[in-house]
Amino acid sequence: MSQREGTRELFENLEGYDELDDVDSRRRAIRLWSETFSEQWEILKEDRLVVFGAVTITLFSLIAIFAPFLAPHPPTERMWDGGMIMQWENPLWYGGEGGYLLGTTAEGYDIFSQLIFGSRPALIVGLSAAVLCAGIGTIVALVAGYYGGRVDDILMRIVDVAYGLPLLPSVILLVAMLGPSFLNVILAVVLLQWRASARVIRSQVLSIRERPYVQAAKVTGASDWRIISRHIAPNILPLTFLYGAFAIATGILTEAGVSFIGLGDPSQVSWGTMLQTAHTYNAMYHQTWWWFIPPGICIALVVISGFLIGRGYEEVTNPALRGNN
Amino acid sequence: MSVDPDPILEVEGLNKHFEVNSGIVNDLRTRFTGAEKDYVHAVDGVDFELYPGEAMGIAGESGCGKTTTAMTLAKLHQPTSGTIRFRGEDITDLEGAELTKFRQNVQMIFQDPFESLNPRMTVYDTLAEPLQIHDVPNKRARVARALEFAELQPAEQYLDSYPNELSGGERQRIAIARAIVLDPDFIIADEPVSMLDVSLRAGVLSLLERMTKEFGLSIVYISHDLSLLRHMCDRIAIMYMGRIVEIGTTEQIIDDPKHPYTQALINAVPVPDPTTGRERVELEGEVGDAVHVPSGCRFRNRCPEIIPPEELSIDQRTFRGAMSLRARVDRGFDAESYWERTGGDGRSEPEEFTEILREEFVLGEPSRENREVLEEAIDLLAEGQTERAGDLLRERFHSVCERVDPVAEERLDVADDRRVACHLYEPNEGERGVDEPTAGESAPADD
Repeated sequence: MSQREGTRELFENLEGYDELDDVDSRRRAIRLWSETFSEQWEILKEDRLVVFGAVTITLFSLIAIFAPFLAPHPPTERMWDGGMIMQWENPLWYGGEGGYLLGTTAEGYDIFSQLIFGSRPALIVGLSAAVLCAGIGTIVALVAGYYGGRVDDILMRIVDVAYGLPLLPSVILLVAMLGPSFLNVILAVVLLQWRASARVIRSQVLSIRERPYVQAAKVTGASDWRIISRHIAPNILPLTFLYGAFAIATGILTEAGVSFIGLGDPSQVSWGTMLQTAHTYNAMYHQTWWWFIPPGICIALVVISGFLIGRGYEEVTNPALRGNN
Repeated sequence: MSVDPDPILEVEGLNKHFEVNSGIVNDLRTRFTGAEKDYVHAVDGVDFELYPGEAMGIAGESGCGKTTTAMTLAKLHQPTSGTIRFRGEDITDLEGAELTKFRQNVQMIFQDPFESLNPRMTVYDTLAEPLQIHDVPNKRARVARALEFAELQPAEQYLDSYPNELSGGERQRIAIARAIVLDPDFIIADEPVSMLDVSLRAGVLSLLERMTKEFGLSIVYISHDLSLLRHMCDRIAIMYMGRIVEIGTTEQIIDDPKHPYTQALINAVPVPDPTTGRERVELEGEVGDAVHVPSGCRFRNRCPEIIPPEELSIDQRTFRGAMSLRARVDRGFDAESYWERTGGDGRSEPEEFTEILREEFVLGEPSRENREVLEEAIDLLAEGQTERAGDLLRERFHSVCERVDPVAEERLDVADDRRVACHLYEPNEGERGVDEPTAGESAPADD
């Protein structure tokens, strides 16, 4: 480098000082992220409703994982009683004699077991839609916002087009074209939901990109990847989670909606298909409310939990909302 | 000041223009309509050089382009045109690995210490980042030494802190430590203390001074605060609307400013002792529009010493007033706002209207002829004949300042080696400013 004496003196005789530093860049990266998470959790747990949402989602996740152990019967196995299908059986606590906690359906399936197994598609669709929507949206936003110019123009016009698509009709079209499978529902939800996170997070990236600490990193010669991953991404993370939490809710609602209109995966029991069969067999007319109320409650609980967590993240992203409660 | 004859940094004809309304839709529109794109002339022809070990200040009002200049020097903006040479090497178009190598030599200190440190990175991560990028060994030890130099002791105590745990002064010291940790040759400090409490400023300034003196660094200070620059700098450049209007040693600029704009700036610095009489030059008029840059001298619309034509006998204040009125009319006279001020209903009070305009623009002690022209123009304005009023004013009141763009150069009647861009001073022979063909708002040349 230069031939000056000045600064060099300050940095002379460093040899053997210590060599600790080069080891742990990965450890530091992990620490950066874990600090970020724990800081957010500190804010989130202040709000009881957020905790309620988190507990509910965790509970349903556990139910989904351990469904085979919790459900008394396989969900698609007809209940027989000496050559007769056990149809329209009342629940145990409502004069039912078969010992079914929530009775049986018109086809002779155990409602309680269906309810437990129904949490699986709901949560899988909800969580994978959340991860994919927030992930794709964030990546698009980072690329568009950071690089700007033509890249930004093109990506944002695609978002504009995505905004033009109505949610449910598009899902129906996609499922009708690709066939009623579970993966196609996820695909459809993701294709239609990444737009909101991409648009909003991009605007945040635009603002962070101009912050002096990003400029300072550029002056020191930081690569684009380093700036995006270390300086911008950690600072937009709360927004990513916010949109992730909302995507859980819309994912589950869409899955239930699509199943209800009969475009869900026919081989799989979900809360949506339960509602659909209850509707087909006129459960309302037969006053067997234990068939359609519980899946409705489950959908509502998970969806509300998603929104509550999202609301909590709004407080993380917008400090002005904090401390009002 | 250093005697080293080779400048560390040479800037020539530096321009940075920003496009107004960019984007696909606007591009298409301009392509089809053939309309010209508008540019903000943030930096528009800046020349200077910086010698090793020298501290140079760039001063000017908000929006004069000083921060854009700083960012362009640090290669945060790609200049629109012009060259920047670092140690004789053209760095204007460096890219990729070469740019990264150059970045090892140049660092920047930012204005706001609350914004210039990533809130999600510890002090160690912030300071070690440049070392990681340039693969410098002994990171921890270097970081510790840099922190100790910035008077953050013991350094170990700061390594794991986050910026939000530190005070503004500590943060700015960390920003300074980050700037020196790579051992650069040249630092740009953009308003380094303006966001700090007054009580902390002196400490941070003396640290900056120690840094430049001990290490022989070259530094460019960007500030609007002339008293700070006077204290810190060997030379000062004054910027106005993207140009350097005057550049010289600190004593020359502060004690004997030549350019009318420099004089106005110096006079605006508050004096601690109110009994010290100092003639205050108040600037009239508005800061120009950086999109539609005025022809000739950029300062002419506000200049208290705008030069009247030779054949016209007129006092300075009257001429200033006349030129202000002309500038208003040339830009499309906003008669409505004056009609509103009459308090009358619509145009019911023409007398009041002319009275207001006279009060604003007929200043000083005009001769009978000058007064007549001004009043006739104002009457024409009251009748709504803006164009004729403009013609009338243009015919009588015009100036070399609007026709010829003054060059920042050494002037024959300014004894020292400073450069001034002003027609009040005798230009160097053979280096006259370019006679611009006057366009748009300005008068037809007649000299």
